[in-house]
Amino acid sequence: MILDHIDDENRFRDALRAWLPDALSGRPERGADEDHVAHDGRVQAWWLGVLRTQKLATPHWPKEYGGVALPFRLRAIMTEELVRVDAPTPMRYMISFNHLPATLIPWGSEEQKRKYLPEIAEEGMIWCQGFSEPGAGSDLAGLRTRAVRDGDHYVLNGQKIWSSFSVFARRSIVLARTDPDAQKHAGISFFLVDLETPGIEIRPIRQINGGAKFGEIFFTDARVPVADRVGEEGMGWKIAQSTLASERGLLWFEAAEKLHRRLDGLLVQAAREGADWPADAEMRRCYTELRARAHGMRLFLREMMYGPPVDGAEELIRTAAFKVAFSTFRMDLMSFLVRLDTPDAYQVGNTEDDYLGGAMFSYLTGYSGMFGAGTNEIMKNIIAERGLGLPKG
Amino acid sequence: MTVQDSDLNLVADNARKVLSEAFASRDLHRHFDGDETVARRLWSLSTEMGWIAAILPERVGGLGLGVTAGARLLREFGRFAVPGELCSSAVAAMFVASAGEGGAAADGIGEALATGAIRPFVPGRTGGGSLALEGGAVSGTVAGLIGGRDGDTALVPVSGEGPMLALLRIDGRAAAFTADDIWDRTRTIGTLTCRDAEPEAILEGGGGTLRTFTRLAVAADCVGMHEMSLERTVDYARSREQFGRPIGSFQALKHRMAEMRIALEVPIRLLDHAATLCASGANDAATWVALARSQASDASIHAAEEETLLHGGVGYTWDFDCHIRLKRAMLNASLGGRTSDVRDDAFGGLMASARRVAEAEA
Ligand SMILES: Cc1cc2nc3c(=O)[nH]c(=O)nc-3n(C[C@H](O)[C@H](O)[C@H](O)COP(=O)(O)OP(=O)(O)OC[C@H]3O[C@@H](n4cnc5c(N)ncnc54)[C@H](O)[C@@H]3O)c2cc1C
Repeated sequence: MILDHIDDENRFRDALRAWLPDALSGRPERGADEDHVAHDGRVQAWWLGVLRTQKLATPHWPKEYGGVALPFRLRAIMTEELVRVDAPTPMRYMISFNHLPATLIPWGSEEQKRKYLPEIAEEGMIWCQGFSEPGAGSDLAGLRTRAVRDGDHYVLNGQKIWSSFSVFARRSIVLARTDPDAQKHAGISFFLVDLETPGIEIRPIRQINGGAKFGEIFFTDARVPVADRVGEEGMGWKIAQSTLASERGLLWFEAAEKLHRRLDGLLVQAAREGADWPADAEMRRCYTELRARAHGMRLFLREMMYGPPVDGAEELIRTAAFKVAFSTFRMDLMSFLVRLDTPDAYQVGNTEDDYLGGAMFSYLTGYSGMFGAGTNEIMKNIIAERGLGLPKG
Repeated sequence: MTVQDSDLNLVADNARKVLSEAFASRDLHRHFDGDETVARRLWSLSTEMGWIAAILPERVGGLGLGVTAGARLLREFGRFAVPGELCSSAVAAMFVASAGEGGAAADGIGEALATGAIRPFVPGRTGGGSLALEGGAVSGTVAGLIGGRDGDTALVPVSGEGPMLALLRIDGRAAAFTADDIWDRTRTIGTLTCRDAEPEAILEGGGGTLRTFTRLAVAADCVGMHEMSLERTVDYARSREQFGRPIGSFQALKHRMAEMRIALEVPIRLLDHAATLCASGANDAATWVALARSQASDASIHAAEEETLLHGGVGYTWDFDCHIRLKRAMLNASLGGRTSDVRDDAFGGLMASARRVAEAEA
């Protein structure tokens, strides 16, 4: 078992490295008339099954809920090694693996943890996040979906939008207003919702990149048990901060490693094939600029992960600055890849990996990073007001 | 030798504290406007504080903190836009620190630097001309050297039996220096003309390495200036009021200041990374220095431009600091080679290692 080497970083890395080629060899091929979305889902589920044989599907979780409490550093090493061999990223499980434990472990009841976490670890239950609404995007606290107490249930009415993976998900975390008279942030509660509950309808939304991985969730008198409320009534906003904080760290780390690898590989390929773009000064300098930023991002992340702690304002600045710098870097990189004008640059091509897919696909998908997890404008507001101390206005 | 972060922080924090008192904005302006006493006072203070000595190895009377300390100090030097002799001496000191043991000539230069006995010019802009060593004496002309007003020596490439570096004493006769009339008056750029000048020291090779340290110094200078541009702009935006409120409350300006901060993140990390690679003598150190230099320079020019613009009319005056950083940041884009060439050098390094990978795969 790879986990036998948990006490030694180098051995752990070596064991993983030795195991990976064989483990990946069974990667399912796309069937003749299988579409990319279905194939992608099959690959992700398969890969989780393979990781599970080594107890590495949800390794960072606590032992009692289906993880092995893998230390953070080893989790990062694991990410490095998986990226190195282009292992599939189980994107569909993003909310399940990160947002859910980040919410339930600090805030959930013991019963909720026992009910919802092991089923993710063991069966790969897919969750989505129903926070945003048509009228509540950047101003999330303006949400209007209502949850009205009725005995041992809440009755939900309203609409969520932009819920990633909702078309694949069986469960959703949901923010809803329980007290319309309370101050904006205070009247919100946090729920765990079974999407097969009567009165819930999910509609996919077609995206800029052709896919339909996010969608709308409509609630019409949907009854959610009181036992599925996380924390006290009115605590939803506070709890959601823990949920959203999980969108950082290792998710960014993996993305940064992937982009760096892609950029690095491009030059090796150019060297191998004698590509003509290095002779084009504009392309060459653009590449160089991107390489500098790619590595700067990795150094920045490692500092945030392993470096000495910083004070609260600085921490806010760093996270928001990273988000903006990284999403912008990602866009610039993808735009560069398209402008390289390789024969396949404008082909639809691979649409399965957000970071490693075809150039135009990756470019279009890159926009998600500019909006998701708070738009870059909102990040700049945070940096300016809460970080640099500029007056509100 | 690995230097502790705590030591580096100590050196940098101390330099920041001392400079904020000894080289405040009014001193900077006096220096800029030609008062010669300011730089001299600062030079004595630097010797007293042992800033250059901190970089140098112990065997020449230094503290042995090396290149990483050099980069941290130069960042503070950039923050306060200190006179050029401090920066060029730090470049020479980093060069000596990386030269390793057994270089008697380098050690001689190191000893002179440690005691503050020399304030050398070093190659800055890609100038015309060249110097030749023949029969023990140097002749020729080289332009684009950078240092301070009181520069007394030059550490420059000469061609003899192969490439070499010479330390020449500027005596006004055999070795004469003419300063260009440049906009950035925090530093001095000029041309050295030698007629049978006897060098004080000769070293084999070294020209490339010296240029790498100039580039590292420029990267550090840019990061420091960028930090100061941001601080000054934020301070100003909090206090200046229009329409009955601080201009810092206008979102159009807030976002520009947030962007100045965001744009610092990559150069800061690349600078540390490049300095660490230099200190350990890594093969790809020069490549990463070039990457740090080009990113930091572009970013700091933009920061200085934003600083100027966000100050409004006073940004267009001689009395505020904005123009000083703007001029210094613009000049930095030509030091150690123009930025596009520096970037091409970096690309060359990246390509060379990509080729090695491709060959290993084949
Ligand atoms: C790919 C993708 C996946 C997503 N996944 C999820 C998910 O799983 N669950 C979920 O709940 N939500 C999800 N979202 C929603 C996302 O969080 C919102 O799109 C985001 O918060 C912005 O809200 P909005 O789309 O309503 O835009 P708006 O808030 O209407 O913003 C429109 C424009 O106005 C700007 N703006 C708004 N307010 C300000 C301000 N105060 N200052 C300056 N500029 C401002 C914005 O920056 C933006 O440019 C996802 C979005 C995307 C694109």
